[in-house]
Amino acid sequence: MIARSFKSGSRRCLSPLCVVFALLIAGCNADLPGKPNPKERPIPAEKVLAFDVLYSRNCAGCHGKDGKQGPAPPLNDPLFRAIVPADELEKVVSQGRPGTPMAAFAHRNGGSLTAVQVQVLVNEIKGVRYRIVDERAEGKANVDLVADDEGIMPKWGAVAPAAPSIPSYGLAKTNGNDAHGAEIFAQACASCHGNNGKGVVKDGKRLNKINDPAFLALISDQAIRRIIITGRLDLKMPDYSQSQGRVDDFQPLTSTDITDLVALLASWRRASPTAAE
Amino acid sequence: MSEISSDSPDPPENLTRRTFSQRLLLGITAVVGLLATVAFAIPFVGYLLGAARKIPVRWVNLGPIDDEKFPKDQTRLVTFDNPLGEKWDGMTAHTGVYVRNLGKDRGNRDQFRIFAVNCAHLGCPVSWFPQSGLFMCPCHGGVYYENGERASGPPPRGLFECVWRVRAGSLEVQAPHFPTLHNTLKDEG
Amino acid sequence: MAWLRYIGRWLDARLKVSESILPMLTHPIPRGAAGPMGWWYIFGSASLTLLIVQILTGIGLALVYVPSGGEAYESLLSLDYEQPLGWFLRALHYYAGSGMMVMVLLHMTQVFLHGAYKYPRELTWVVGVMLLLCTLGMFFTGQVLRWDPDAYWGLAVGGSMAGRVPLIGPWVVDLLLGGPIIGANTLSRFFTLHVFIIPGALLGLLAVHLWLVLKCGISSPPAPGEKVDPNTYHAEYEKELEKGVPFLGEAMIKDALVSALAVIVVVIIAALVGPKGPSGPPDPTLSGANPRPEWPFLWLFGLLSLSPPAAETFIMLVFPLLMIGALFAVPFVSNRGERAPSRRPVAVLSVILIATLLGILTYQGATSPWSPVMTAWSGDPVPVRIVEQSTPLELQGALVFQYKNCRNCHALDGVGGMKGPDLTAVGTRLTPGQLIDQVSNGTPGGGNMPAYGKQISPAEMTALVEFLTSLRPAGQPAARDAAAPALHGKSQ
Repeated sequence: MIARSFKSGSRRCLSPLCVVFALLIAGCNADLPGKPNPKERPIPAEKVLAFDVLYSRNCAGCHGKDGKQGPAPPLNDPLFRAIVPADELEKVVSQGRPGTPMAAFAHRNGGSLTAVQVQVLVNEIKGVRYRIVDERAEGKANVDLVADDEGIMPKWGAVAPAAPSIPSYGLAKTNGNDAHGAEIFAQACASCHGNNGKGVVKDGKRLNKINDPAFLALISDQAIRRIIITGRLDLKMPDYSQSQGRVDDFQPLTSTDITDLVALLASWRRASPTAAE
Repeated sequence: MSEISSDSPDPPENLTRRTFSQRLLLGITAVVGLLATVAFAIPFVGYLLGAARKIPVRWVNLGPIDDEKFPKDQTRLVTFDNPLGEKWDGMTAHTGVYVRNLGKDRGNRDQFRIFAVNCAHLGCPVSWFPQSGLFMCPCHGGVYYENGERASGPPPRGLFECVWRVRAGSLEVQAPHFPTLHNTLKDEG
Repeated sequence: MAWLRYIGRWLDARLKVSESILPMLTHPIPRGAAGPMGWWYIFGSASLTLLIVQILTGIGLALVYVPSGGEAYESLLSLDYEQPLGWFLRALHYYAGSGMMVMVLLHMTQVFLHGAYKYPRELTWVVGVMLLLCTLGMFFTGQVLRWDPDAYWGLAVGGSMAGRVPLIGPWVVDLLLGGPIIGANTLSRFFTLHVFIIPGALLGLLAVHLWLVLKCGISSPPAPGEKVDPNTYHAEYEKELEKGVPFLGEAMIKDALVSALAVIVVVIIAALVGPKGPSGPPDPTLSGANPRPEWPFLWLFGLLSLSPPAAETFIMLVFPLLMIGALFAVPFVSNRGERAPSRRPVAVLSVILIATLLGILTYQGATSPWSPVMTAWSGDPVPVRIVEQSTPLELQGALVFQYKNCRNCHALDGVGGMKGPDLTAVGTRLTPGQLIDQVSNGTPGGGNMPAYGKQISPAEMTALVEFLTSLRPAGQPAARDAAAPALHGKSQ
């Protein structure tokens, strides 16, 4: 009797079992949800070459989630991407800007990024399509990056070369004229930044003040020049050529104008008590 | 079997002999058994305790002292394969130490500070943040200053310091074992 | 069929199954344990069934896994990606092990609540506690075999704890790690523990446990008022067994059904969720390590992290021993009297209390708010809302906040480290003076926050404090110094 009940029971038990086994064996080929995908293998931080991951781990904190609307100057800005020299980008990402809150990210400077990872960031920001040459499979330690018109398209798109009329990115070799800078400031900047950069008061709060010793101590001349050229479109600051909010007969700022404005801000910085830095 | 009379004053002689020989056998077995146990146990336990053997001092060359590799007043993570391990350790032999170049002393000799990566709290790997001049531990948030001193959090002491020397213009470090509270990397008496 | 019966009789004449094992299966158990109350008795057999799954999947994994420091990781990848169903076996081994842990804990709770550990089953409980320790041991050693950064740094934590033992600490560490560093010898050691030593102990203890269950009998479901008295217990139990039913029947069917369900559940979870880890190559020089213990140890991780540093060594070394001692002592502290939970409020309350505490500590351990987020400073964006309303100096302050790694411990809008307080509204709580003091000096006495006094320049401090002061919900006034004249606040 026991034997009989076992038999009939076994037939009943067997059908769901068969389904389970069929499922499992099917799992070899047809993927079950739990089957790990080799593409999702964890990659050590040092070997990550995907821009999204690199950017969100290393840059998004200050430069904003999509390269804008962060406290640091936006990287996802067409004008900036067009005029910044690639080697300058590489240098700043690698070594940081000493004295300012831009950290050094290259391994050899005590940071966390390898040279190739820095290259990925540079190409992506400059909008240069690139290809990753991975020779590790061939037994070499080498991973390199080469520009390639057919290669990976930068996330923020390609960048058209800068027109010659755009002021150059780099600081001028000669010292600017801060007196002329003050004139330019009154025309192009004072409406928002106030007379002498002391800001404007709105709703009880002093806004846009830049003639401030701590502010000037933490920003480099190069960063000032860059922001004058590109503005901060993400925070409603116009670039060098936009006229809204400026004097009626506003002309786009020239490279010399900008040099003089930088000289003006530098003179404010020198005048402040923390200028020793 | 012989009959045993309960009222006989002495047990029969053959039984006495038998008891004696049985006891003798028991005694011999006990002695031999003990010997066998000792003969097995001493080398066996000795083998098990072998893991705690004293380890030889091994020096690792971290490379020539130059500004590229050990910039002055800066801290760098330097990695090498720990010679204290086995050939089949694979990547677990990879060891990192934080090297800080303190510059030259009065006698124009290079001075360094080398720290193990292990947090003094529970051995997790600390990271160096040059911007804030702090080492931070990801486990319980132990924080240390650039000189290895404890800054905050649960660690009961500063970072473990490695022994170093300069040989022929190169910086050498004594291969660090896994440092713990009562077994640090250098004599701290 | 006749020949089958013939072979059966031939074998039985030699193996004597019908006089040894058959009586064990058909031994009478109290009628109550077979009725509806019998559903309480299924956890032990479910644990046993999952143990069998563990043995089978473990053997399966051992066919491929290489317990070598240099090659274990590669063999795990091969199991996951190349060996057909290797991933499934790894997943099943993990989830069946977790299921076994759950079943063991439920079994233990049931035995405790029903007072089943009382006379004459004290030894069954004691051996049961040893089995619990073996299961925990399997969990810890098993995590090590998943030779990834979690395993490596888990060993570092274990080694550091062992290193705190007075006098013989260094020696214990060497024995634990199998040498001066964490490496191949450590893995071999934990492989031996996981595959030979602990399973051997576990199976041996299990045999004793089951033997005791057979010899002392299954306790009947507790009834209020039926007190355990060692002098009369046996006579009463005998009487109960006279009305008893054979185990091989209703009781066993329940066990079989629940065991089968347990297996199906872990199989489905394994198929849906897949294997756990390895989380990366076991290279201790790679950055980003953030070791977490396996879930049965999260409560201890939580307890350790929340305890004051002065009590830490005690909690690491003595407290677990006290806990184990307390578990062992349970049947000796109370081995007679009432068994029904309704008459044992202290027992019920302790279960609730312990379960709640373990639950809270496990939750804390899982979220580990005390761990800094090492990439928050460079990876967690300053909320756009804050950026949009900031002045140039406040923006520089926000940069200083990120650059000086403040974000690693302090969240903004709930994102960032949780070790320190969320600073989204710090401007309403602290005045600029208080902020400067807090940043410069940290927590007094070297508590949670390091002193930044020497790590920050005056300009950075000015910008940072300007930024922090501005962190206020719209319309909320800035914090005022209590000593300052109230007029100052009104004048705004």
